Amino acid sequence: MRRLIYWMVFVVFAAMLPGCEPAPQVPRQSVTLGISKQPTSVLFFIAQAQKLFEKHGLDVTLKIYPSGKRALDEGLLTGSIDLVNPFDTPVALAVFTRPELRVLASTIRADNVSFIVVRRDRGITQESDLRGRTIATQEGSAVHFFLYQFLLEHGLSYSDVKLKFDKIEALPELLTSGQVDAVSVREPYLSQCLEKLGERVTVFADPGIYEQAELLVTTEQLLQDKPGVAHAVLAALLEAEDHVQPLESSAAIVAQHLDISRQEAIDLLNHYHTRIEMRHSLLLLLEEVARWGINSGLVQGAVPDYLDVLAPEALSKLAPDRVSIIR
Amino acid sequence: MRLLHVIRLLTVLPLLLGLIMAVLLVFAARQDYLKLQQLGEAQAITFESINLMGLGRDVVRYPGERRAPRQWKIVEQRMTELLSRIHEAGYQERVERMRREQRMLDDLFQRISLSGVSDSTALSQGLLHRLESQMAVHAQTLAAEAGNLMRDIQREQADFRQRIDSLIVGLLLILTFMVTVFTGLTGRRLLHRLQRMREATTQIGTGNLNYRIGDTHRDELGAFSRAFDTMTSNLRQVTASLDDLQREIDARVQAQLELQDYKNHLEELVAIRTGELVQSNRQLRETQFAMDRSGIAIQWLDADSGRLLYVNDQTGTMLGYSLDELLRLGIGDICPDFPRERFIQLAISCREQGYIRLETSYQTKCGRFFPVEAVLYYQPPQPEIADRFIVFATDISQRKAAEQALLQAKEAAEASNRAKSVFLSNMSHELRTPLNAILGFAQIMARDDSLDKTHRDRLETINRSGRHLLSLINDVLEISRIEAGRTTVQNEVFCLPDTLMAVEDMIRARAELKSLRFVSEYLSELPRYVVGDAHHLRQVLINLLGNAIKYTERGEVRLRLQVTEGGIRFEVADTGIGIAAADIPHIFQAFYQTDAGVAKGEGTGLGLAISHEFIRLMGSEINVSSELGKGSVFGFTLSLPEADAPATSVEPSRVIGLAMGQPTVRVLVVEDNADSRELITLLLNNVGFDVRAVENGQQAIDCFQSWQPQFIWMDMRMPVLDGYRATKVIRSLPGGGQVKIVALTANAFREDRQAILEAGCDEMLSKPVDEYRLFQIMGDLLGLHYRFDDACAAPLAGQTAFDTALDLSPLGPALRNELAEAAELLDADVVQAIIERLRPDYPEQAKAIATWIDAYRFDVVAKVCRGKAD
Repeated sequence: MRRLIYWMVFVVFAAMLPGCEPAPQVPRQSVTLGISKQPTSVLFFIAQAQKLFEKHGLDVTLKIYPSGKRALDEGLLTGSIDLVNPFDTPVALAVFTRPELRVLASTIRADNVSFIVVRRDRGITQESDLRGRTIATQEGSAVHFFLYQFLLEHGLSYSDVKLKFDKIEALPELLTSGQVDAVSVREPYLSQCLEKLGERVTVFADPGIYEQAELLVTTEQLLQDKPGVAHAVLAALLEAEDHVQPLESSAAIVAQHLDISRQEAIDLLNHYHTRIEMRHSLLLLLEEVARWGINSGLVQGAVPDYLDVLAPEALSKLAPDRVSIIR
Repeated sequence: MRLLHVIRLLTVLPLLLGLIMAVLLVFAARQDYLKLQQLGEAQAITFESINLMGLGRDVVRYPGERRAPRQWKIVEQRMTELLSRIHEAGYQERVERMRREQRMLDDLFQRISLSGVSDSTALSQGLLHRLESQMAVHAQTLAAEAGNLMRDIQREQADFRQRIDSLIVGLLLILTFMVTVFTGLTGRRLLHRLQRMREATTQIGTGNLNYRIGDTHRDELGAFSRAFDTMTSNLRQVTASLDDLQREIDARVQAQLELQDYKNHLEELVAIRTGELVQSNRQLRETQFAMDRSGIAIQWLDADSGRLLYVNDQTGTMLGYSLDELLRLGIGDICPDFPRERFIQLAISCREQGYIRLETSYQTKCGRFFPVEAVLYYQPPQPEIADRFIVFATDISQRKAAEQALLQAKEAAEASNRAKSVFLSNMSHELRTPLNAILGFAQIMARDDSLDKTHRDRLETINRSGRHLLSLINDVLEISRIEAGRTTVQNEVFCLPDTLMAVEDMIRARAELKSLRFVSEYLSELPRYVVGDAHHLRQVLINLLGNAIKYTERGEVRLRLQVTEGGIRFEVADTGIGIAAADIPHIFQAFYQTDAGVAKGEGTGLGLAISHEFIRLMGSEINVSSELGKGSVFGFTLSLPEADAPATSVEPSRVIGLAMGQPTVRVLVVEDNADSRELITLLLNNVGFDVRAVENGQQAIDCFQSWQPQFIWMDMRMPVLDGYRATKVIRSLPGGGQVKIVALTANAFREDRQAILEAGCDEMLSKPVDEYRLFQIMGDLLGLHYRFDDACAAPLAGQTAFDTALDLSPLGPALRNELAEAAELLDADVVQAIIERLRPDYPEQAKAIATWIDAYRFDVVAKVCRGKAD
């Protein structure tokens, strides 16, 4: 009897021995990330600074774009970039023509990051004063969608104003030069406007009318070519999420990338809700943007089925509680 | 039941119940899991209902879009699965209701989908709103049903948990009860059997091999008990054999030991006897030597014949015979007092008493007799030894001579003592008799109002000197009586505070005269009436306090009293000159005076000696502590038992005559001293008695026979025939039995009273004659009544007369104290000096005091001065 027990103990230990072996060495995967020059890219900045990408087997190259839309258009859609972090608007519109885009997760949510900067010296002191004025924005971007929502909120429509589209980094100059009466921008271009015009401008904000989401976007091709990348990038970002707080340290990293002071970085970060997730509301947001794009003539065709665009598998493996998509 | 089974049962029973409880717990956990799963599914139905509501809205609003219908189907599928699982779990009714709501939702969805339009224009806005509302209603109903389902599941889960908990508690109680009862019963039975076993081991241990456990149970203990009993039985048999063997061995060993002991004892006995014999021989030689040199003559006499059987050397030396010569003699040859006839009587007595001590005479070979003290011991007959007498004779010639000398000395001492007593008696008589005359006639002369002042003063000087002389004589006689051992203590009831107050008042006045402070300090409450000799106590206190004042020039004199266990402690302390240590051992000796006393030139040196003797007679001792220059403390403790108050006495009054109707009484005065005879005759004549006087006893007898007096004052010491013999003769004569005879004696000794009464006297009166006592005795014996002096003779007229005639209150307290003190000390000089000082201012008081003093009534003066006329 006692001998039988000894044998059983021996067999159990023998079975456990393989679990004690060291993990096999996996070759690093190189990946290029196109990151917008915005505080919303804080998770990417932290992950790089903390070498979290390397920790999760990635050899990451960061490429900074003036905006997420630019990174999408100029990087991902051109095939030079593997992953980008644009806001929802350009992604929703791009899907009309590029259905292979895949959204891995949303990284930031914010409802007060887009603003209307108006020339007060031109008699614009309240929202209704915009009627008949020239307003510049970046076409097909989040600030564009915000402008639509803003006008709608205050009883105006595109027909009541004159729209002028340009690259987002050119918008402050348009306002400063007086070519337009108002611009729809976000940071850091808001600050540039204020810096240049000072008391001559007024900033209109409308928190809550548009809760925009920054998305981690790639392509179906990349998911197939580099099957572990999505998982690794998300893992690194999830870990970076833990380093956002306290803001003093994360703001320092952000300030370094954006050439702003730490306090400015802190003030900006306070407007963001940083969380890697994929909520059902994202679908509704993308569809709303799509309908706006169709109605605005920015895109043609029916509203895409964004269920096919969302790729929650990787995030479901890492953090299933963060995925609430009906599938 | 075997113990093994019992133990197994006690082990298995809890295990079994534990297993049951474990199964119950697992079952409960499984049920919990199922219920939680069902709860999760119900919750999921709620979520999916909300999803359906949202998707329905999307489908209605955006009918051409694909995403919402796609998700609808997904959710619809999930809902169907969830409801199926819930249905399987047993909530069919509620599931049916939910399925109905699901179908309603599906119908609405199908209607919208089947409309086939790709835009909202195909349906009116109103229809769209209605469809959206209906879908919301059904979705919410579905969610509400799911919520109810969750509550059902939770309630069932709670009920189940409660049942399981009750079951577990019940099982635990049952288990506890069973184990308790089983272990209690089994344990008690086992304990009883184990106690039997323990008793068995105890019995076996004490040697009782007959004890049996007697356990017939068929379990392990029973088997053990039977084996134990078998073992005990075998052990008893073996022990019995061993005991027999041991007894035999012990008997043999004992016999050998006794033999050896006997042998050893014999040897020891021989050695002891030999030693004793040697010792006896040595002691015999030593005894012989000692006897020969002890001066004791030893003879052994034949008990029948008195022949000398053995004599020691001393006998030969004492009698001058050789030993051989003596052994041929009999006791009668050396002791002529005991010829054979007396020897036989002596032998009989000695046999009866064992020994006889006697004094007799031995006669030497040369015929000289000398006294011996002989002791005869009778030695009864012993085996081979006839009975005999052993005589130890000691020459007591020297002792007899010494006894004779002592006897002669004793007789001489007794003769001397008798001579002293006679001398004292004579002195007492001889000194008092003339004093009696001096003071008596001085008293009588003082009654003569015709005397001028010069003669009266001289008469007072005579009185004063006489009383002082009387005081000195009294002191000398007192010490003589003490030395003769003839002073006695008269224990009577007296008032201690009164006695002390009288002494204190007297001493306080004397202290004030010397500007000394007198303090009487009572440290505890004193009894009022006590039994003791007040006369002696008063005399001692006055003596000690008087000495203290006499030898203290400044400071204070303190009388301290305290009741102690041994009696009342009296202490007299002063701050005077003190007594030298060398003087202290002698101060109580008669006639001893310290240098200070000699320097003062006062006193006789008898005061402390008398006081010391009085206190000694009263059973105590005076002790003294003193330091030269700082003062002295004299103290003594007397046992004075407390007593009831005595009957009050009536103070004397002065008799001036016989009361009316009194018969004439014939009084014969027998007194050899002419002065005394004349004095008494004069006193009696003045009162109205018929008086005759004679000089001696013989004349008294003659007068009695011829005159038949009714009362005779008989002096006891007279020439020719003294009072004792005269009284006896008169008593023997016809009519002698009726006559009242009262002895007159100057003898100060109270103890003479007995002899006087035995001679036939009815009473006695001491000289100097106290006038009042003289009349009082006659009144008492003859039943006479007197007339008293009511006018000026206040001292004799009773107590009331004292107060009215001798009112000394005008004198002032200091003067009264001084007078009282002098009166208490019988100091006539001082009293007279005070009287002289009083005459100019208080002539009446001075005269009255003088009258009292003339009447020898110092006591009355003292009492009136102290305000104690009552």
